[in-house]
Amino acid sequence: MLSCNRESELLDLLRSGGWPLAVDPELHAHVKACRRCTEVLLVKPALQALRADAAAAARLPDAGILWWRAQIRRRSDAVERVNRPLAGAQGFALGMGALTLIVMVVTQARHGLNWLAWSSILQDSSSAITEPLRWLGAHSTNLLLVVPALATLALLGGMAAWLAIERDSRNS
Amino acid sequence: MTDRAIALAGLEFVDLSRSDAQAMEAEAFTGFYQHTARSLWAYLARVSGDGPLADDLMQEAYLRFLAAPCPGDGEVDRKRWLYRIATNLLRDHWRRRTSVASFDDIPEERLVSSDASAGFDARAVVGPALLRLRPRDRQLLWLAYAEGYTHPEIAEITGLRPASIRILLFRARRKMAWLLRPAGRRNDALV
Repeated sequence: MLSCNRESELLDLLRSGGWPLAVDPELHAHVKACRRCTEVLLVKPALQALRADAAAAARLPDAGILWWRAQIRRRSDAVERVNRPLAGAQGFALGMGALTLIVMVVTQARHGLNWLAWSSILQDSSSAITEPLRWLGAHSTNLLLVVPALATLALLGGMAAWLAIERDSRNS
Repeated sequence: MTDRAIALAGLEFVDLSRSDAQAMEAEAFTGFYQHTARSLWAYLARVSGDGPLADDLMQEAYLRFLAAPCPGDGEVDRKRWLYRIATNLLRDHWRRRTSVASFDDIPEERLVSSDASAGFDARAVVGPALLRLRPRDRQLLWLAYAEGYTHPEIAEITGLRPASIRILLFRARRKMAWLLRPAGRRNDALV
């Protein structure tokens, strides 16, 4: 048996300060004979005395300062939550940019490093409207990579910013 | 300067439309803090045996308490939630100090500060006796007999199964009673 059925009665008396004066002799006799109740009688007042000593010795910081610190922390957590998707979007954009650059470099290398082709096209052009279109047609391979990449970046960046603002307004 | 003034002075950048609500919340917190801080510090200090650590953990417990929504409504629920946070902090602290995975496997001497009684007066027998127990036993005894929590409440605070509390508490109480008895009478208690 792990506990005595009179333990709660004894605990109530100890809690209310009724022990030992306001206790009938029968309970006194029981506690004397019951090992579990004797242990409770030994341990509970000892720990309560210890608690009173420790509580009196506590040097507590001001509640207002703790409150203020909690608000600062809450705010910095909110800022961090907002920045997290933005940082993710930035990382993604950086990655995409690097990938695009690599693809462009590889493509140009295969085509004989034809970096300045556009300038000669512009110099030879007779019409300001038709020549860029011709140039676009000639470099459609590169543009097919660059334009979707830029569009994806813009789209994702916008979505990330919108989500961050939305979350911030919901938290506040 | 009042607590409310301090709180609001540090929050000038906060949206003004929220100031009233926050001021009320700050006042409620001040009342809750005044009711609970000393007993929480006593719990942390006596279970850890380290006054300065209790200072740190108590502040962190309140900061986390303010950051996370309390699952209950009344002050009793809030206090129990606070004790749960503090208990987790204590456990995390001990886990950080050792590579042992299980809380129960941590050697007792590593769980007590070298200046175990520094910073506050310990009763000559009870404090040292408490520190000779396993940390979990200290927690259970403190919550049951110093704070007066019931077994289900202790289970909620410590994260232990309610069915385990009874047997663990029984063993802890027996050991504590044995330690509190005068040395000459300890053999009698082993019967």
